[in-house]
Amino acid sequence: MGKLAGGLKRIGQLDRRTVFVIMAVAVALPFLTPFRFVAKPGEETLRFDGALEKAMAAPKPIMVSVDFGPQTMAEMEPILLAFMHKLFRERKKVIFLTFMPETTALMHRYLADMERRYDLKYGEDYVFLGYATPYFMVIYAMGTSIEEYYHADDRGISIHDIPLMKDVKKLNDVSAVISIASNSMAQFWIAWGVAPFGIELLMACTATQATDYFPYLQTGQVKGLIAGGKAGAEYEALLVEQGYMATTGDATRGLGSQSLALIAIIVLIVAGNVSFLAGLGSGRRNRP
Amino acid sequence: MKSKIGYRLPFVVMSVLGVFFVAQYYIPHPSVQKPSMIMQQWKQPLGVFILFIAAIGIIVLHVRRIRRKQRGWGYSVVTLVSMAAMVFVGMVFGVGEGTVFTDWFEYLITPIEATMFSLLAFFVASAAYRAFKARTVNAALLLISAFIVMLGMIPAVENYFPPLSDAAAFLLKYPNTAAKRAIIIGVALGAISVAIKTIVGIDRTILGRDR
Repeated sequence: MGKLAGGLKRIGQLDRRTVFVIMAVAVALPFLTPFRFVAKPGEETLRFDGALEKAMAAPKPIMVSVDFGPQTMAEMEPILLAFMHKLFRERKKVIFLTFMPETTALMHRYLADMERRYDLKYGEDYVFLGYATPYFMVIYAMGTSIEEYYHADDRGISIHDIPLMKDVKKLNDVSAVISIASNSMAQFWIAWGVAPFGIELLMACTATQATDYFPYLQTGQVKGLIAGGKAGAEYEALLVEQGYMATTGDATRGLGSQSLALIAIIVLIVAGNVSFLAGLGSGRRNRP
Repeated sequence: MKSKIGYRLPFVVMSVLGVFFVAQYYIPHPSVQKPSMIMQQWKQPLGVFILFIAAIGIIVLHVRRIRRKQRGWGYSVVTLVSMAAMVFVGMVFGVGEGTVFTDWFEYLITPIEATMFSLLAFFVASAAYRAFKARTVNAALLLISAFIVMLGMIPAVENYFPPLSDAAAFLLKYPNTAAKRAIIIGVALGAISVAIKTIVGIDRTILGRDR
């Protein structure tokens, strides 16, 4: 009995460095083994893809607002790249823009890669309008006139000299807007784009943000939502099925880490609670 | 007299513009939209000035720390040198593709920011281990919900034990969405109430403490 009590006490008193090592092993292990978790496309992912295909069928370009930085790249980048593959493989014309200055450098890299891969022509197949501020005013102004804020694109080319922008004067001249953001930008798209102008909005966000957007998804203000790494992996699996990607990408690779990290956290919480419920926990001894 | 004008003028400007910006949302006529658009464009140069003030604020703060040799002043030196270096390479060599600025962003800032954010997982795990305890019934319910949602995020659970995954989806879609919707509506009503009080002059704290 004494040994059991001692054991229970010890599992409630793990040093934080031990917790860090457990987490490090959980995160790193899936990258060191060939084993991969397989994601099955869920209801939300299929809904997003359905809405995207509907937007792609319309004879208008699609606008993509990319708003994430290096902090959330691991979660957001695979989602962005996945639907970029689908859009560009179908030769859909795309207008990119951002409301975060640090996204600009990331976008240069993604677009250069896509241009090489799909032999795209800048200004005709795609355009990057670049960074603009203040975001909610830019969104609202674009509802009546895109050139009010974007006089030139990211390369400094006048918006009047860009063939792709010839027939795109306002938000309703695009078939849909996709907001891929790790901040609250999608809420501004809902308030200043969907509500006043009735644009079709699809979005991608981090897993922790998903709960913020379910109400808008249920009301139909957001047509499709991809939230976090797991949904990203589901979307990659779907695009592989559809033939848009040869193999799954980084979201699927990261899914193993995410899953093992979640299991590690669950085990740690259970351990902490077993110790606590046995009246032996001493959570105050070690600060996180 | 002067103080009366000094008090009334900002209040009148605020009230008139408050009513105008509410109206412009509903009136699509050019006579309303054009001045609205012009005023909204003023925000861009204003934003630049704010950035300038923020940069000065950072410099002043860190210079003060270095002068006083406060704890961790070495980090202030790193901050100021990094800031100056980025401004220098950006202004001298440009910020486009293939420039030093972009390379520094790609090979320094990107991994640093990604690393900082990744560390969160370790601190979250440690904090959850120590603090996430079933001390009360509410805490126990929260704990159970968290377990279900976390397990529902694991593909293996989804594939081999679908009821748990369905339970996670139910929690996210219904109780969570209902609570979230209540918060969104509550916040919106609060914002409308504050805006009306400010426009009609009931709430004058925006004009300063002594008002």
